[in-house]
Amino acid sequence: MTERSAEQRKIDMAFAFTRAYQEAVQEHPAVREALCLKTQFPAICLGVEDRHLFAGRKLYKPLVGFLTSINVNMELSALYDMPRHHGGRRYLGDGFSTDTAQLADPEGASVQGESLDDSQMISNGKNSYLADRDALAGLNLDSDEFIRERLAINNSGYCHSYVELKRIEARHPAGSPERQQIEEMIDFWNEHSSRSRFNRALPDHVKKNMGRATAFDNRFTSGFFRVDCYSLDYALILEDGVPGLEKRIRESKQTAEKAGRNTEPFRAMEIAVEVLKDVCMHYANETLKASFESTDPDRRRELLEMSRALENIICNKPANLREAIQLFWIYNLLSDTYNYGRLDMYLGDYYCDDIDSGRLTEAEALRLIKGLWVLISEIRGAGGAAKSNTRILIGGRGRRNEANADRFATAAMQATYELKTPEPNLTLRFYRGQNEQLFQRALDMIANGNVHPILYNDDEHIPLVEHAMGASREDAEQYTPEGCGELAINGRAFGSPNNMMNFVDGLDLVLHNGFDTFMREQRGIEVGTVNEFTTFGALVDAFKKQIAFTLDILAQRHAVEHQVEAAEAGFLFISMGTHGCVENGKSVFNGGVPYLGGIIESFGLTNLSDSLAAIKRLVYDRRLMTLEELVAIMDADFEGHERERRLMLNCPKFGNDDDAVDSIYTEMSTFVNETANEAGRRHGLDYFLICNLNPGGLYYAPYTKASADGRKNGDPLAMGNNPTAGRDTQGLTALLNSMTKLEKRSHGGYVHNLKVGPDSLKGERRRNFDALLKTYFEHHGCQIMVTAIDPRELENAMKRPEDYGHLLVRVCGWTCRFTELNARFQREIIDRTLYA
Amino acid sequence: MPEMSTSGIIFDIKRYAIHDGPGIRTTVFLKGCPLNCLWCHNPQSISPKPETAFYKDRCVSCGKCAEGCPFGARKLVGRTVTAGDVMETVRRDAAYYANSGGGLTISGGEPLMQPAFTLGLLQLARAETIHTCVDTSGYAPFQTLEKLIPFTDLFLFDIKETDDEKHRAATGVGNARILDNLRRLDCAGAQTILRCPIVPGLNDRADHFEAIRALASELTHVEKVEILPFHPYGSDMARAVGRPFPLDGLKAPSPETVAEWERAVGLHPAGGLPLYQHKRRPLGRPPSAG
Repeated sequence: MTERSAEQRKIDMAFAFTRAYQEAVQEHPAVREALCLKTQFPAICLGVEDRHLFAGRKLYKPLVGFLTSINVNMELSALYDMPRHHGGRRYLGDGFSTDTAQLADPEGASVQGESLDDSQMISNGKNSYLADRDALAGLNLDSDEFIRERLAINNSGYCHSYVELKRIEARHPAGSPERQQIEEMIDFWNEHSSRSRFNRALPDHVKKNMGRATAFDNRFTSGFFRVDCYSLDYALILEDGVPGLEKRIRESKQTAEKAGRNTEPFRAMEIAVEVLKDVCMHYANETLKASFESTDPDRRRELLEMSRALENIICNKPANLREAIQLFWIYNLLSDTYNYGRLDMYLGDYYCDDIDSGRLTEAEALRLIKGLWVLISEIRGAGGAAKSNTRILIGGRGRRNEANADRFATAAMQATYELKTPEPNLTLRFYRGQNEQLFQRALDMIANGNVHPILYNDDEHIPLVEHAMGASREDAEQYTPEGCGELAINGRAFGSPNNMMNFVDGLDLVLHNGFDTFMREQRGIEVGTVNEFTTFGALVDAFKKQIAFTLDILAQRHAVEHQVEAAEAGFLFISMGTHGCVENGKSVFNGGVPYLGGIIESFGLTNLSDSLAAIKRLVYDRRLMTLEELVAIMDADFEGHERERRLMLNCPKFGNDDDAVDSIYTEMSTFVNETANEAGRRHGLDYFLICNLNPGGLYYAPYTKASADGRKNGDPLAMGNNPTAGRDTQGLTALLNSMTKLEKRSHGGYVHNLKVGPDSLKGERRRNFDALLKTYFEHHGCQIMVTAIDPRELENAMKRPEDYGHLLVRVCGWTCRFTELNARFQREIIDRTLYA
Repeated sequence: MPEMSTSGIIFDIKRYAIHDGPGIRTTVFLKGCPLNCLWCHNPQSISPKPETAFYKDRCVSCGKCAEGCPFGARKLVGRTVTAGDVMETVRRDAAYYANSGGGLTISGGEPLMQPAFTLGLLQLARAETIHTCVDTSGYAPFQTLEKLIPFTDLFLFDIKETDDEKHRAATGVGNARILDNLRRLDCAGAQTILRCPIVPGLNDRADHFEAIRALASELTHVEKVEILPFHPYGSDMARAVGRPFPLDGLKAPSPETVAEWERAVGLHPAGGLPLYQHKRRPLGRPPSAG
């Protein structure tokens, strides 16, 4: 099939979807969604390839569709013929996503659209701010609305890819009926997309106080419109299978009928289950057909088994591991989520039953698990990727089948160990008293160069989630770090990380009375001029005032998202996998989910604290310079002020067990989280928390001016809750002590990277490393991601990438192949202190 | 009563030190050393006083030295601190020591050159039940060494050269006093780890290895023998503090060579465990003898 005909199919699908939407426009929103999904699936399903043991792939970026979170319109330059210099910049938004479009044709071949994948995005992450500004200026945009609505990067609900549609439109001659049809479709969705509705619903004062563009424009604050970082409780789906789900819906519908409540939401769910069955049947047919056509007897048998499993799960609950994984995967495909929750709990019983009854050998079961891992890792790569940063949890409290789950967890680690792919991000939860073998196995993997599993301490996180989200103990035990580590509660608490805040830029704004000297416009509130900050306390108060103001704006913004999402659709597949939705006939956004909140992605907490510590010492304690002088020095990016920069660099830095700065860090962390949570609750969110785990420290770097910690404009901000790369000099225990001092009652996910020498976990040294981590976690360490690596390998990999494709590293909350990172990211990793 | 205010001159405190005795330790490096070893790994430790290290390669001749070098080309090595100050840092990692069987190591330089300070630190650590090691060249009057025994759980005792004449050539002093001190320590029941720096071409001789083996077998309280293979990292620092580094250009031995040396001394080839490990006193219990 040619590229053009693949594209034609995408266009046909877009028209079909648009028609379905228009026909259902008077229906209940959930029913309208269900009817649209019926058009969307299995239409966007991709074929089964020879390497697959399970069916289920899709076109991740249809031109028009109903999705939870899609990154589109990334290629302003492609559309508007902007020059492609500035490091090949084609990126305005979060830059973590892709626009790879792939569509299967009947023969199973596929076509890949012109696009970037994750790693390329990261390598192109050097997005010159000027290019952004030029691009926007070059478009002659007369209103922020244009950017917000049409060029919005991050969308959910009914989405359309404005840029791609415009590109297709441009290929048709002016005045042709095709062109006119596409134009009409674009106009329709410009008006009716969920994003447009959101922007119309957003109060003016909120817009005014947000960034210009919709996705983060690398300044103080900005926002997404998306549904992300959430995992379903697959026990609700797997335990009783499709028939069980149908029964729950039927019974809830009857109850609603008796009570005289609206039954339309249940009709929507019934249609959604039909879609689920349609997709299973679609793949059952496809695999059966492929089996008949295959010439390889082993593959024939495999395909036959796949087909049988797909057929069985339509009418029965999953009977074995293969069926359970298959149903899990199809359901996941439809729910459009990328965090898989507590897989060991969902699949542990099937795994053990199959092995104990002799249906599968351990090796055969492991093969199936690896088969699932392969599909997950293909979401990311060239095989049709739209997303990355998938997460699977194993271990931890609150698993009803702990012994079986532990066995699955061990096999899951083995699968990750053998495949050595960046995805899925395997995460081990553990608590004092848990089967020690899991933790030891995790350390064995790390010792051998794996960056997984990521280690999460339940004994800290469960009380944290109880307090921060106001969750019951029982619910808190089901907490799940999602994506980069944003906290949620599996199937129970939902809070998309749709708000961004750069604290270093915030401090810069405060030091200029709200004026953004980079953008040359007022972007903050007026909190006073620097000469009014006669005490350190006065400066901190002014900063807090700015932050509190903006957090309130963000909370209002987030609440509007929920209102729009509630009115737009039922988010059916998410809702049916969430506690409290089917029973009440509600969606996660209109009262279904027990806890509905939000998360703020924050950047530069370390640099903020280091900067405040430096200002306190140099300006207020030792009076070596005035605040005006200090601000002037930073405005000049230290030009001609090397000595002053040295003074700033020599001030206390986070990560050295130095209370002078660690206490500031803790105070700031507590303040921002508690203030955010208060703001959230004021505006109807069950929780509103700050996480610090995204690699924005590099994206923001070029646009974040010099800071008083001695950081120059362009130098990376600290990653997650780490020290700024290389500023921790007092040894491993000092670093960990600093980390354990962080408040741990109210944040939405903090992460710590630790880079150690390749032998640190081996031989005699293992015992000490065990004791180190044990002590860290006993003393309230929350989380750690350990990478054991030889620094020479990193250097060599920069020179000879072709030989080092295997080298994985953690960049904040995600995993990457080192060689796929751009040089700045690579350098940041090399610059991190190596604890040999 | 331990004296918090006893002061001394140190040049570094290293945390998560895992090569200076058992477990996770904090090593305090004292300034001043009576020896002058050709291969010295810490040349900045030799002078007993604070001194300025100068990194020529970082200097851009800006002339601002007077107001403190902005490029970090000049660095003060050594600072006067009280035992109480040091303990502030040491006790921060007490939990790591407890979980790993680690503790405080006093190294240098030569800790015995600052006997009151070293004693003060050991007493303070003991009062907080922190395990203690003293890393020493053994070159000191026995009376000085003896005073530390009740407060030292383990001595990391250097055996640099077993031949007296060669010892003198390599370190500037003979080894008679050192070996005598070691034997006296052993008689007093003090636990020791023998630490043997081995430098290619200097003391990687069969007779030296044989003598180490004999020495370890002769003594009752040697827990372990450790080979410390030569590394050239001291050369930059030597330059920075204006000391000669006579072994400039000499490379660190390969792991295979080190394994050979370990075999020659009688160490277990895999884990570096001694073939003649003695019964070990439980950690943290004060020795009965004085």
